[in-house]
Parts: sequence; C-alpha cells; structure tokens
Amino acid sequence: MSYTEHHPIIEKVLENIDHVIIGKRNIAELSLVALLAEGHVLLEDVPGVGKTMMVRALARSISANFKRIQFTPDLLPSDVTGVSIYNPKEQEFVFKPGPIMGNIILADEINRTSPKTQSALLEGMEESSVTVDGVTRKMEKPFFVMATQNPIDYEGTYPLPEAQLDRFLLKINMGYPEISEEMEVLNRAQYSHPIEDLEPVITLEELKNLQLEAKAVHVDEIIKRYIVELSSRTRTHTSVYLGASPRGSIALMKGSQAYALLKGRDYVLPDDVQYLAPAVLAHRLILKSEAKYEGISTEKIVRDIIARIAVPVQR
Amino acid sequence: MTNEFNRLGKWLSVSMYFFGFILLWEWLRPVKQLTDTEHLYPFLWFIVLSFVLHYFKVKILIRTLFLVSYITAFINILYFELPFLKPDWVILLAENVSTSLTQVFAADWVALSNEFRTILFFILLWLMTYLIHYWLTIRKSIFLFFLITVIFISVLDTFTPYDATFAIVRMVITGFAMLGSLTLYRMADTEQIRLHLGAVWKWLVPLGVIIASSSYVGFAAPKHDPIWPDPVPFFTSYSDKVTGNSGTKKVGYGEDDSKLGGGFANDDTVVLYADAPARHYWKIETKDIYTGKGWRASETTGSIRIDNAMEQRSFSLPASVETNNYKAKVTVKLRAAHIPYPEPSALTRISSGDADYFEMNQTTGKIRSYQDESGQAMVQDYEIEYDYPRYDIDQLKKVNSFEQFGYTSEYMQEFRQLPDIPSRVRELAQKLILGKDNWYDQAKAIEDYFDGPEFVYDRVNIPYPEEEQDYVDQFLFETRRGYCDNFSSSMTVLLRSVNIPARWVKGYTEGTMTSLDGKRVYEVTNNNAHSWVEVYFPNAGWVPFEPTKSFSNSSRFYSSAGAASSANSSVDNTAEQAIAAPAKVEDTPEKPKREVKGSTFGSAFWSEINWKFYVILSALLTLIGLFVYRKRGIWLPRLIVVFYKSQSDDRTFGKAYAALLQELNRYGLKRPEGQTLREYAQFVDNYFYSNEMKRLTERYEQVVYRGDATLPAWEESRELWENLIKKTIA
Repeated sequence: MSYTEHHPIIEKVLENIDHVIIGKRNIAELSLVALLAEGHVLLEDVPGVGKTMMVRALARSISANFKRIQFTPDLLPSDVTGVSIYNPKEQEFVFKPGPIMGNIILADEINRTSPKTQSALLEGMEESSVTVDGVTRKMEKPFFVMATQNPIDYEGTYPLPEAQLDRFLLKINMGYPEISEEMEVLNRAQYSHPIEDLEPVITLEELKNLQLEAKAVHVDEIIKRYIVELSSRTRTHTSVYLGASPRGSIALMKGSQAYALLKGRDYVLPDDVQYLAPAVLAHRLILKSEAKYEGISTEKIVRDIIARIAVPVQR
Repeated sequence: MTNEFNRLGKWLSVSMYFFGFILLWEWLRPVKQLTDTEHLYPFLWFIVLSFVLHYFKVKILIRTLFLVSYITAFINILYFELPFLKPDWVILLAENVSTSLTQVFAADWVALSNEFRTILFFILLWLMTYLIHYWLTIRKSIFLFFLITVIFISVLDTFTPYDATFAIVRMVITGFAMLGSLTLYRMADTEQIRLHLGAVWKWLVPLGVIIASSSYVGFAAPKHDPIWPDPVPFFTSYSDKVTGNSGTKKVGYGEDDSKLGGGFANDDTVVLYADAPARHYWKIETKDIYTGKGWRASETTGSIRIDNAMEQRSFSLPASVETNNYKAKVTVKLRAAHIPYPEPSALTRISSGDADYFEMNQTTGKIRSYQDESGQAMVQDYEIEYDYPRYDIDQLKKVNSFEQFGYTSEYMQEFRQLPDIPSRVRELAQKLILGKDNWYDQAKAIEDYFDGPEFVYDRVNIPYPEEEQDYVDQFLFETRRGYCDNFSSSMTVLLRSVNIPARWVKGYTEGTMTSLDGKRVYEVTNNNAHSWVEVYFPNAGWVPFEPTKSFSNSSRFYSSAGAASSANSSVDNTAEQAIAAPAKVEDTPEKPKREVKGSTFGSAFWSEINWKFYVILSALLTLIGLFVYRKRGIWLPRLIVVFYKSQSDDRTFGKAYAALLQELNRYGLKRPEGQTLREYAQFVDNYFYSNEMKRLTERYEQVVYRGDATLPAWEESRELWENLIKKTIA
C-alpha cells in the first residue's frame, strides 16, 4: 500500500472523471467523498470553470438515475418535487415525480432561485423525502445532491441562509485550471465533447456497498477527540462569530471516513481530517464583521486552527 | 610538496598538543598550590603520555592499555609495597575500589580511600585529554575550553589565595596562539585548500606579532587598583572555620599570636558575666617579644602561687598611686583554665570553689587555676578582690627616663627590644614625639596618631603581611586598616622604637551591661576580645593605653594640679561589639589528622581536602557534563537502540517511536505540532533520501489509528526503527 493508491472501484470512477475534467482530480475526489459519506456538495465558483461538467461526469460514471434542475428565479417548488396531475382516463390524480426523484441531482445555480424553491430542495436533502399534496414520498437511495452556485455578490442571486449551508457536507471551490490544463481542455473540446463518450463504471449496488464500507471505516478515539478539538476550537476563535456545530463534527468524521476509504484504508488518519477540515468546516463558520473587513477568510481560520492543534501521535 | 605539507602538518599538530598541554596544566597548577601538593609531575606525565598516544593515533585499545598500566603502576608505587607483577596487590586494590564505590553511593565522600581518589583523578585527566584531543583535531575549535579556563583561573584568582598573575599571561599567549592556528585550519578545511608553508607563514607571522604586541601592551599597561577589597582573607578564614583547621579565625581570645593578620567573623559566644563595681577591661596575659609578624612571650622566669581565698600581698602598685579596693564576682560561661582579672589592678585575693590554688606566670601575668589532686582545673565562678588605681597625670608626666629613678638605662630592656624593623617605623615614631619631653606625653602623642582619619577600623578585609613584610610596617604605611591587634602592636612597636618600655596586653573589654538573675552585670562575649598597650612608669607601674580607633581607655586618670577627672569612662557601645583578636577558641580540640597509609605524597594530596578542591572538581565535572550533553548525538541514539531493541511488550512500539521522534527533533528535523506523522515522514525521508520513515510510519499509523496489535507491528518494524535511530547519530 502506498500513499497514492486508491480503492480500486473508486479509482475507476476517478479515472473516468479525468477524461472529462482535467486537472481537477482533488475536486472529483471530494465530490466522491460526499457521495460515499451520504452527504451533499456545494460547488461554488464563477461560471464556466466546469462545475456542471464535474457533476455530470460523476453522474455518468455511475449507472445511476441522474437528474438536473436548472434553478431560475421563476422556478416553483413543484417544479422540483413534482406534481399530481389529473388523469382523465383513470379519473384520478397521478403523481408526476419532479427532478428531485433521482439518485444524483445536479442543482445548478441554486442561488438564482427564490428561497421558497430552495427550501423545497433542502428539505429533500435533509429528510430524504418530499411531501407533495399531503403525501410524503421517500426518495431513492442513494440520494446525492450537487449544488452549484455563483459567488453571492453577483447580480440576481438569493444567497443561501447560513442554516441551510450547514446541510451541505462539503463546500468546494473549483478554481481556474492551470494554463497547460486549460490548453488540454481546448484540445479535447475541439471536435466532440468527451462527456458524450463516458460510460458508467460502477453500479448502484456497488455504490451502496461502498457507502456501507465507508461507515465501517475505523475512527479511533484519539481521532474523534482530534475532530472535536478542531471544531470546538472554531467556536472560541477570536475572529469567529459562530463556530462549527456538532453537525459539523459529525460531517468531518463521516467525510474523513469516506476519504480514508477512497484512499483504500479502513482507518482514519489525522491526515484525512486535516485534508477535509477546510471543505467541511469553513462554510459553517460565520465571521465577526471586523474579521470580514480585514479580509480574513473562514478557510484561513480553519487552516490556522489545524496548524495550531497538536496532532495525536500516541494512543 | 607532500613532504613539506606533512612536515608542516606534523609541526602544527605537535604545537597544538603542546599548547593544549599548557592550558590543561593551568588547571592543575592551582591544585598544587591550593592543596599543598608538591608532586604534580606524575599527573603531568600522564597527560603527556595521553597526548603522545593521541598524536601517534594509537588504536584506542592499545591507548587504553598504556594509560591503564600507567595508572596501575603509579598506584602500585604509591600505595603498595608489593611487587607490581604479583597479583596480591591487585586484589587489595579491587577490594579497595569496591568499598569506595559503595561509599560513593552512600555519599560518604570523606571516607573514600586515597587510592580510589587518585584513580578518579586520573580518569578525570584522561577524559580531559580526550576532550582536548577532540577539540583540537576533530572540531578544530578550542574556544569553549579556553573560555572556561579563563573563567576558572580568574575565579580562583579572585576567591582563593592562588595568584594567577602569570597564569593569565601564559593563558593569553597559548590560548590566542591556539585560536589563531585553529582558525587557519578550519578555514583551510571549509575552503578545501591545502596549506603550504608560505600560506602558513603568512598567517602565523601576523598572528605572532599580534599576540606578542598585545600581551606586551597588556603586561606593561598600568592596571587599575581593585575596586573591591580582596575577599581572600575572608574566604580563608571561613574555610578554616568550616574545616576545623587549627587557627580558627573567629573572634575570641587565643594563645597563638605569632602570626597576626587576616579577617574575622563575629562570635557572640558569652565568655563571662562580671558583677564588678567599676567599668574596666579584663586582662588575661601580656606578651613581650615582637617577632615582626606578631607576639610571643619570652621564656618564663617562674610563677607566683596564689592560694585560694587567701589574702595576697605580693602584687602592689607603687605607693604614690591612689587605689580603691574593689570586689568583683565573675561567672565564667566559656570555661578555660585561665582567670581574666581587672586591668589595671593589683590583686589582693582570688576565691573560687572550683580551685585550690592559682599560679600567675611572672612573664605573661597569666593566672591559671589548679586543684591539688588533678592539677589544672577549670573554674566556673570566682570572686576577685583588687586594688583599682587612679593615675595622677601630673605624676606620670614627670617620667622621661629610668635614670631619674636611679635605674640603669638597661632596666626593663626586654620591654624595649625590637627585631629588625623598617627604619621608616622608627622615623615615624621620632616625628610623632617631637616636642614632647616626657613618656606620658610621648605615649599620648603616639596614641592620638591612630585617631587620624587615615586609619580605619575594620576586621573583615584585613590581609596577612607578605612573606618579607613587617606586620606593623604594613599597617602603618600600607593598609592603615585593621583591628585592635594592628593598632596595639603598632603603638607598642612605636613606643619601643623610641625607647619607652611597653608591652602588648590581651584580654577583654568591659563588655556590655546586661541583667542576669535580676542583677546588673557586664556581659563579656568573644566579640569583646581585645588587645591594648601598657607603658611602664617607674612611679605608677604598668599604665594601660588604648590606641585602637573608636575605643577609649577606661582607666582612671586625674590631674592633681586641677580638678580630678575620671577620664573617658564611657565607651561607645557599637565599638565594643566590634573588638577582635586573632585566636582560636581555647577548648576547641584540634582535629586529629586522618591516618593515611602510603607515602607522604598521597596523604599530602588528599588530607587537605577542602572546598577549593571541590571547586576544581565540580568545574571539571561541569565541563565534562556539558560536553557529554552537547555530544549526546553520539551516544544517546546508541543508548536508545540498546534500550528498546531487546524490549518486546505492548507499549514498546509507542515508546520507541516517540523516542525516534525526539531524536529526529534533536537532530534538527523539527515537527510542528500540527503536522501529521505522514507529512513528517515525507519530510524526514526527503532529508535522508530514503523511504524508511514512511514505511515505519505506515506501520505505526496502523497501530495508533487503527488499533492494530502493537507487538507484532513492533517485531516487524524493529529493524526499520533501528536504522532510522542510527541515522541521527552525529
């Protein structure tokens, strides 16, 4: 076993994604972590850096039911959850499921729609069920939402409330590709888009098994303490108004487990925790206004805390 | 070229070892002086042997053999009269060493045998020679050792009698020569140049010039006088007190005054309580011969027996002196066989329950108590009756020679004799009595001279006179700082130098008034020990004078021409507390010297064990300790390997890995707190160009974070771990 080795099945998925998204292997890994940990991902970046492509590539690699919701200001909650339509032949209302009734949901530009519609999605994310016309319908498993959003200071957006941000396991920034990578993107896109050629490499059943495996990854007591120390330290940091909740600690643990599995291990290392902490914790922190004016980012605060807390090296 | 280079290198390293030897010698010189050892040569030869072996790069085994046989041969010659090749003495030595080792663990330092101490000293020297060899040839840097040597020597110079004047000069020359040449070595090493003769000369000539000129300037330049008083007298007196050597330098009455000088500590031990009607000094004895260093009594001419409680008529003052008959009760606290009695006085009766009779030495005036059966006896209580005089100054002023009273000029010659004293003392006395035509005025003039502002009363920072120096001369012309012995001796000598009969008196001042069992009594303590002067007037007997600054004469004087005056009856209380006399407390038994078998060399070396030796020893040990600590990179990893390698229990892996982390940290590969082991392993492996740390860490991670069984993991990774630890060996 070496440092770079991955779980064999997961490696196949990652390779698949690599065909489409160039130089963003870490983003792909993080997305997979969220999928394996049964969490959801919020991808945030400016338009055109490949957010949507990432999700589509991931969905295509899994032979899962992929749905896409393009959020617009006039989208209604029923457009997400589905509606009951009167069928004159049968003389009854028939439920026509909305796009949320899939395995992998791409919620594109989630901050462009009204809070009412956003909450319809978020309820589904949290409860794994939707209620339409008084009937609560369970969602299929696995259920994985990848939401993308443009940075909130752009025109015509409805920023997600802090409480709802907490529902996402990870928040990932894509970032621009390197120059060489961008040139490779151009090369590949010259004739046909590679996404069209992607074949599924993993079945739904295999995915479910992987999710179970992730839950079984060993998290030692000292690692749990380390996680708790990290998130509790965010609550006492001088620049932070509101720190990470226990839900954040849970998310960090689950994410670390999934990441360990992804790396082909059946136990969590402090390295896993450190790697995931910025993506898991940063979007859960609310900064004091002084800190905001000083331009301190929540991600930097999390990294500071990581650097300052002693890594457990002995049982 | 190669030849030249080799010769050059040889010369350089020979001279380096030579300088190293000189520096190490500086450490041994004080040992010789401070411990009265005459033979340091065996140790010096040992150092030479060790250096020679190092120089010829003799293998460690053979080197050890050589040195060990030197030590054993030396021990054999010194302590055993058995032939070297017979094994008997080796067995004796082994037994000796083993008992000494147990004493070491019992911290019973005094009981350690001389053989063992000598062996230890040899081992110490051995380590030192190795250290110097290491500094010279491997580190090529001697600064640390040089600095410590300078500190050591200057501390010794300041706080012990060791005089390092020339040691400092020697050290500056050798030290800078070494520093300079080693710098050349180091530069050549780092720049990867081969030294050739020309370059060496270019370096050495300016170096020599700089050293020569700076040491000449340093030597010739005027030196500022010390700002502090010399602490040595205090220390020596203190150490003598601590070690119980003879000549305890505590204030108090003592018998040996042949070498005066040095400082004193206070001693509040009560000597006696006196219930006396008048305030006066207490006399013990007088001394008549001045030796140039102190006082001694001439051969006794006999003694006068005084029967207990019987009236005594043999002592009387001349009839012209007015007297009162007084009775004083004395309770002795610090018991001695002598009887202090009032000064000035003529005894009429002594009575004590503890003695049958008393004897007064005719020469010294010292009274001892005796019992018929047991001889000398200590007296606890006694009652003394005496005629206490009042001196008529007008009568005293009539005296200017013995001839006017019908005595020959040889009369009382013993109280006018002096050894060969510096002429300036006589000249001073002549100057002081100029214009005074009688003994009283002359004595007064000399007494008053000591009240001058140039004289300082002090009993702490008082040096002993130098070998060739006169005690009085030193005080009068150099220090002008001292206590009663300085003042009284000086006045006596000045008086004698102008032919006035005078003697030196020892005893106690009147003490301080205190209350004992409801009575007002004088309390006399060891602090009241004092010395003063008596001048003989044919018409009045021995009359006391008080030259010591801040003391006043409590004897009664009056002028028959004018109104009677009881002169100077009050004495400053603070002054009383500060009276001193060099002495040992009489009943302190002298400690028997330790019986030591073997030659006088061994016993001389070790019987003088005192703090100075420990200063040297602890300085050396500190030095070695520091070195060993700094060099822990060499031995610590090996020790850790030996310690953990054989261990196999559940906790070993964790401990061993922690030890490895600590060693790597010491080695300079620091792990920030927030860094994970995996990142750190990467860092370490990059440094060592290997993957061992990574492999070991992976195994360790499984133990720590996965909960794997420790033991098998340790068994698997022991070798990896050992390799890594060994990489940290400096």
